Amino acid sequence: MLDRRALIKLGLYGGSGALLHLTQLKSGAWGWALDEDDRDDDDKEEHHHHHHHHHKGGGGGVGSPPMQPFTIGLPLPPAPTRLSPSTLPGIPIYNDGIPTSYYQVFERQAPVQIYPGKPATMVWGFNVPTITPGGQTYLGPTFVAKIGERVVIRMNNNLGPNNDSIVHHHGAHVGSAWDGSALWSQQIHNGTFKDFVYPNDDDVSATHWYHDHNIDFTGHNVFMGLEGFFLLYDDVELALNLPGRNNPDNPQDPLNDLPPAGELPFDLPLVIQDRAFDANFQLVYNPFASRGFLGDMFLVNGAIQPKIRVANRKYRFRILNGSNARFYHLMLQTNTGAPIPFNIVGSDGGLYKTAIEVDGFQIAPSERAEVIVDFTGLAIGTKVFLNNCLMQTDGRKPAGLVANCATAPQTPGPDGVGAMCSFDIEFSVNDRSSFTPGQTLRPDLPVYNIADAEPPVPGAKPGATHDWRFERGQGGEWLVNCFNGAGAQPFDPGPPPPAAEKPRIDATCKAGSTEIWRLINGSGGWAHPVHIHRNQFRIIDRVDSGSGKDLGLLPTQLGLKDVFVLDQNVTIRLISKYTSGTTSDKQLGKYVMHCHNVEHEDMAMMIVWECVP
Amino acid sequence: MSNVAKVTLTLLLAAATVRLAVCGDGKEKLPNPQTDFQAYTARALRQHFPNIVLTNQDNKKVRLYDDVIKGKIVVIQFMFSNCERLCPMVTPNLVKVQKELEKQSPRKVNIVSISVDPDHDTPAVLKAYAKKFHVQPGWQFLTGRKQDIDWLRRELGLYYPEDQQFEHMNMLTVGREATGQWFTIRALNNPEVIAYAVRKIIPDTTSGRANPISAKHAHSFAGN
Repeated sequence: MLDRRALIKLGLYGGSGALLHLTQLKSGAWGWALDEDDRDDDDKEEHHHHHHHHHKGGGGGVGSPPMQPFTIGLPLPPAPTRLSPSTLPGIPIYNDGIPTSYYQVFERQAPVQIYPGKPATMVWGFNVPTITPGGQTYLGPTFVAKIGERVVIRMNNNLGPNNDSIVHHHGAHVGSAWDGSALWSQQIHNGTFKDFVYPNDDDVSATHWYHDHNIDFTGHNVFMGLEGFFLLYDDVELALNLPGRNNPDNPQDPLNDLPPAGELPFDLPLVIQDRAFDANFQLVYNPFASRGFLGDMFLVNGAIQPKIRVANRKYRFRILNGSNARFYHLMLQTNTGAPIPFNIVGSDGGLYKTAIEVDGFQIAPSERAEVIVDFTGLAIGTKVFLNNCLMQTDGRKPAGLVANCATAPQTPGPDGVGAMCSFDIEFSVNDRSSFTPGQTLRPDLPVYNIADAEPPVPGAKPGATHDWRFERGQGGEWLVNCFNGAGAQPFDPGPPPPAAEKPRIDATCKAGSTEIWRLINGSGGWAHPVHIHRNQFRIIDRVDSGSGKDLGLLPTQLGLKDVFVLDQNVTIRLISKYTSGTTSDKQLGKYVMHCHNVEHEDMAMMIVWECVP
Repeated sequence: MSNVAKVTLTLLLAAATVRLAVCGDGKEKLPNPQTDFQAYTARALRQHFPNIVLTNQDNKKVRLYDDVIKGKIVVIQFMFSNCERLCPMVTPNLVKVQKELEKQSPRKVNIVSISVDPDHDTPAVLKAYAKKFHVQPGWQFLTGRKQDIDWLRRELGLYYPEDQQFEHMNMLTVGREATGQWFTIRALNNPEVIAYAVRKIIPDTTSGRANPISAKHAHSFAGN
């Protein structure tokens, strides 16, 4: 008789009581039977053993159907089609001389082909199925806007009965009504739409993204595919002539660095994710993964370990960690294990003042890292792997770097170490882009002065910090500022509609003022990638929470940031000014700060703060 | 009905169930994810609900999946009657949640409190506990074998041996089995907020009024 594990693999196992199996009856014949629940204890122990390792709150999916790595192309979601506002009845129409683009997006469920030749995978996504020359993907369209260009999007929720959605533009200065915080008033109910207005007037060129942020269901909704890129560009960036420069306003611009027909651009947005699939090639989410959900398959832009065809020249990769809970440490290595150093040129909020050369870097959920890689000199036929060298078997935190990443397996093992994708050097082409390692990029980034910082409490000393402690409550929930359970206050979105929205406000910040915030992880048990809405920040310092020892900044923490990794026992000080752009409102109102391990977020690790006049 | 007749009927029902669940090629029929993704998801999530045998406050044996979760909308809470820190706050809060839900969506939601101290929490103890807090129909208190209950806690992401200081008494697991919509919410939230969040997964939340007579003794509502 098949044992239970074999049944699990065959997809026939369905919870203890519903285990349907072939069994030999007393008569000697074979027949179907439902498993008995009152098994002897040995049997039970085996069950416990199985469940202890899999499908746990701390872990994630295992046993996804295997796939030959580096065989499928890279999906690259196209830009959405600009629409005339006259085709969108009731949408706010602007005639104020500010360039405004109008779009329409539908959130829905649809099948996409993820495993070639196998049944399609049902996903949730923006405008899915997204069909690209490189293959199908659950990613939504890639929005591209110039700084100062207003973008108006009609967002339709067609996700089906009882499926609400909130859409967050991650990284941008946005009015609170359109920010997409986890507040009741921001929910878009199935069968309805909401018009979003993104002014894009108070940021610099940057790799932002948009994703679902629904109350209690963000982990599930993001896992199922509700995410996409939102790229901002400006004249300063264009003038740098970085690899892949493409002035959308002038396709004939002689300075554009465009690929030959049929080849991928030299500026590639790449979202890296882990996912889990069942025997029928369907996404498997565990809504009870309270520590954070991990998948066992690596995907780039929604394709399992794609083969990315490149030339031996310079490339710009905009890497987003779109995973629910997995951290990565990424390195580039040839098929002989030789590391290829590269430059980090930007992070969450845009390009750095100065590029920095590295061999690898850590990237936490929702962080972005922009890198410039020079494949010049590599022979045609060389394969370069983007390897994850960071072990992680539990949603709580990564488990350290693997000793020798040069031998990282092509298919990730149970520790999560392995290749995300391959870059296959297959052609040569003229490289008109400009980049020198360590070069100056953006000297024009905003500067926030510690001396300008207003104390969080009137009368406090200048430079005083607004402190936020990220920890676990005694009831097991993830909390911010619970101070060991005394007066523990988890995320509270306030009374439900139709009551007026009144979440508990944990901080108020005066528009135009500068403040220093301190994020504290006093525990050795967990790592939290903390995300703050509305602003971009600069990190002042990163210290050990106990000893105060300066830990220095990570290479992904040198520019404008909206995600702050609180590793175990780490405290980060950050500074920002609550500015708003010249073409939009003051961006007053309610915003959130939360852990972007989305399972922690769904389990109350979030606070509401308010920007006031 | 005689015991023999009962057993026979049970066997017949079980056989019918098996037949319904099996299609021609001998495999259990799975819902088609392309046409019925909610049913497919619900089927996939069944692995998290061990069909352990539990006993309710009226000494009635129930199976966790078959009798408590399947086809229902549930709010699951772990507790123990001797708990002094959190439970004395959680249970009255849940009473308020139940009142709110019964007012707005009568007889749709089942509240299930499961003891993590089953050796002490006999059905009689749980019955007294329920009485003390004036819980209404539609709320079961369950006890059973400790190892079974810990297994369920692990499946619901609310129990880790290395995490004993976090008893997780503070979290509610909320879900609608038929559609696979599940979430976790803090038990000490404002009861209106909890009720609102629960109602988000109730089909057609505006329909139906309670039938006070048939509801009177029910520990479990059909939901769907």
